[in-house]
Amino acid sequence: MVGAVLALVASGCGAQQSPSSDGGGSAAGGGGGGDCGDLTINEQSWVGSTANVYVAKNLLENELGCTVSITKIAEIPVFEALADGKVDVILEDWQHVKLYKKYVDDLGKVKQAGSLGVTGHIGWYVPKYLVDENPELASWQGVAENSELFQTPESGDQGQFLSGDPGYVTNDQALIETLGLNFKVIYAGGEASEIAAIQQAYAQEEPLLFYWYEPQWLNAALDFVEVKLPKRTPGCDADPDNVDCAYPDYDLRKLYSSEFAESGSPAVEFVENFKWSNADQELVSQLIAEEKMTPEDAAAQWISDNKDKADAWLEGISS
Amino acid sequence: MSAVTTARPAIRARLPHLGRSAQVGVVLAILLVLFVLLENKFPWPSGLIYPLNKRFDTLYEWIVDNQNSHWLFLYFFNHIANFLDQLVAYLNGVLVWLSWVGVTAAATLITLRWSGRRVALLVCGSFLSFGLLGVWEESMETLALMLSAVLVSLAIGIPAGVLAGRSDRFDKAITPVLDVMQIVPAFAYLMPVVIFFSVGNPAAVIATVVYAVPPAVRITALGVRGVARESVEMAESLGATRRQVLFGVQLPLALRSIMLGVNQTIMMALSIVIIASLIGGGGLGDTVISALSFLDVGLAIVASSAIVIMAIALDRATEAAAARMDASRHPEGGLRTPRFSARTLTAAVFVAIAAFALAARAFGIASFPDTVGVGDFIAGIINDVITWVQDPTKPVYPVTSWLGDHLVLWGLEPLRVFLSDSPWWAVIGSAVAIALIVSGVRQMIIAGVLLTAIGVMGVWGPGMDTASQVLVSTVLTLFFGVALGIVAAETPRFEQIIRPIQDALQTLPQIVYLIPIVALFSVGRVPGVIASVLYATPVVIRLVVVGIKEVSPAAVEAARAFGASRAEVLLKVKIPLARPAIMLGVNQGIIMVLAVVIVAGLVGGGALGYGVVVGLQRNEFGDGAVASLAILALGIVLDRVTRGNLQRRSI
Repeated sequence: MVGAVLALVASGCGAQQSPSSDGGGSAAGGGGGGDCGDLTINEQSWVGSTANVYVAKNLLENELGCTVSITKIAEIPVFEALADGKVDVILEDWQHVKLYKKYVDDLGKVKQAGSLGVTGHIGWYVPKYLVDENPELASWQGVAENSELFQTPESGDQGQFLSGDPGYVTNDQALIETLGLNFKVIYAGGEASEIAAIQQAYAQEEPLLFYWYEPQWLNAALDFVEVKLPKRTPGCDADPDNVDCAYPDYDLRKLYSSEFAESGSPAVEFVENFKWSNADQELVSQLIAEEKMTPEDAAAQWISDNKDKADAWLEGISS
Repeated sequence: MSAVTTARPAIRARLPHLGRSAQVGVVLAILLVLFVLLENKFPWPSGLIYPLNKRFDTLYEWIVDNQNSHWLFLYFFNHIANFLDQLVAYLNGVLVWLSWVGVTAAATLITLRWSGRRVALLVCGSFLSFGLLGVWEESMETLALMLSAVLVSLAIGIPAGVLAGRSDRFDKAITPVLDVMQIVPAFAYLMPVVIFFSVGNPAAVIATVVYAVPPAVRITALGVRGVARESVEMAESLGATRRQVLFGVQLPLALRSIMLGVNQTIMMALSIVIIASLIGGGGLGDTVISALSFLDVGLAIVASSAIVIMAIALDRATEAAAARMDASRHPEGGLRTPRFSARTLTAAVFVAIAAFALAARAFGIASFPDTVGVGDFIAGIINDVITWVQDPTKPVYPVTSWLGDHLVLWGLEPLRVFLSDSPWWAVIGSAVAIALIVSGVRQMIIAGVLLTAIGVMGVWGPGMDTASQVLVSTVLTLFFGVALGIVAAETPRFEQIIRPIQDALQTLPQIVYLIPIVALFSVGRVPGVIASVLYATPVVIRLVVVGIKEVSPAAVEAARAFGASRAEVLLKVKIPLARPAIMLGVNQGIIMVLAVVIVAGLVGGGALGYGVVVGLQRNEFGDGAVASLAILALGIVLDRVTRGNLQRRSI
């Protein structure tokens, strides 16, 4: 009896759709038809990435008739996912050069899909109210001399340097050691908890020195001042344990799996064309993180306000 | 076992005058003196470090290079991965086909059939709430993943448990393996799992299975062993073969235990849903992580509450089913003679489920009515509460930040300095001495070897840092756990109130409440400590309650007859008699605390947890592997020291 029901269930299931691991799997509808098919984009753990993914998803589904599924695999394991085709595309990679060598150059399973157009910048920041009080805190020398200002019970007799997700690209430990600063790096664990810590410091106007970056929606909401680090010189950060200069600007990259790149899907061309600015991305991120819009709605709003940009990505794609 | 017990009288004879706690005190006093005299004079010598992390890195490189050509991958791991992928996809397909109507009907009717009316009502409400909260599809993905993991876990766990229950030798061989699986934090084996099985559902299932198998094996073995020897002997005297004894006597009588094993397996599986999402598990974990990434703690809590609700529903259902199996074995226990045969009822249940599903399709209500508003509304309220609590001008923050700061200044930091700046040989020496006093020679050797291994792998400092965090968390956990456990054992109403809270704390993913905790206690070691206390306390409460309740009523009656007051009965009779259970609570508390050490690494706790996190997130495989091994070593040291104690008392 049980067997019979299961068989019934199975056949019904087969008739409905091939069992797919992404759940409901709404039928690819609307738009141009074509043979776009399914593709999977990975969303990373920061809001900017959510903004990229949902704008792309909206256009891919509504204009090109693709079915987009989203995964949320962590930054490093996602390369493995790209390599075996579980994930087709990541839209914002902060140049994991070591992994490029392995997966792009050596194994040839992942390909670069060009620049996202967004420039990533990493640096050390302090709240503006601190600099207003003490202008010398806008440079690393000033911060170095005032390390006691940043002491917390956790950092002991050193100053506290607040960092974010242990997985993000950082040179902070090496910078602190090479420059001979009396600071201790404390990780907040992720973007969200770092923001919680920053907001708490702002609410009380407490001193705080932290790792931060742009594009990031919070930059529009709170006044940050970037601490000047020593100028970049050639090779100054070649040895990861011995860094004495500011972070470079990162040209954020799109990556796709080789399999997807050769699939002939119109989505491939779209992913290559997809390119926007820091301001565009921050706008969508802010709608999501601050205005608490759903990522879908935020993306839809940006698209209807920026028809020209969206059209440019779609131009010439046979659909 | 027997070697340990025979060794003990000899040791006792040599140290006759001091009590064991006094002996431990002496050891600690000596360590303190050495610390004061020789602080920082003897850090772990660099000559005694073996670069194990480099070896792991080499291995990792080899795997990445060969995973598409080597037979081991082509013919072994890939097949497992494909099988699991299909299993999850199939179950998911079934759930999608059943639609919300069919799934809810299935859950309700199955619980009605095997667990009873009240639980069926609870289960029905729970499943409807997934839809109401607006996370039906995600819940089903998680359910499919979890069911697959539970099926695989039981397929491995029950046979292994039966074997372990019947063969002492197998039991001895498998126990350390199970310890390893339970102590190594799930986070630590994500990367190896990804390397062998790639990302996605198979990897998520494997990661879950590794974590969920141990309770299945242990509880099954316990159940098989617990079958009264007379029953087995009687069957044997009647000429039953080993096989007949197993299937005719041992398994049926152990069924209740096996059902409890299923119950624990489900709870374990649900507790790592979020972690599984990091390697492509999907479902509710994705919703939670995504909500957290844009700071929507309310939404994250709503999505996590679906995990909690699922856990509570399945827990109560399997527990009630286990209880019924017990009752049905003793017909005089008051069960009415069923009107229909069991088989007819079962058939009716499945026919009804199919009918519900088909009807839902026919009437076009296969997708859950749109109730997005409900989830959003609740999320909004939660967000408002959190904003209020975090506001530094409101009364909560000043208290929490004071507590957090002083926990660091008076607890965590002094203890860390004490452990890591004392001469390393003195720390190992004291640990070995304490292990000898408390648990005997064998455990002493294990403790000594593993602590030395931590140093040899080059992570002595972080190891001692983690040890200090675990010790502080354990003290807090025991304080709250024992206190609340005693209250709960004495006042049934209090127990009823805290039970769902306990379940929630055990299944609610820690990262969900980390953001408010960071805002309230600031970053550093404290959020990790709080997360581990929240996670481990429920287990201690549970064990204390069980221990006190199981104190023989005769002893309590006797004390009452002598005119003892309620407080006297509690303090002089119940608690002393419940000591073995409370000691088990200590042991389990430490293990649970250790499981959350990784989370501490994520939020500024540093130490070994950070090493593991970096291993996964920055592709430092070797460092991550070494940190995981060090956590494992530390866990076994702490476990063995306290467990040795336990065995001796319970004898």
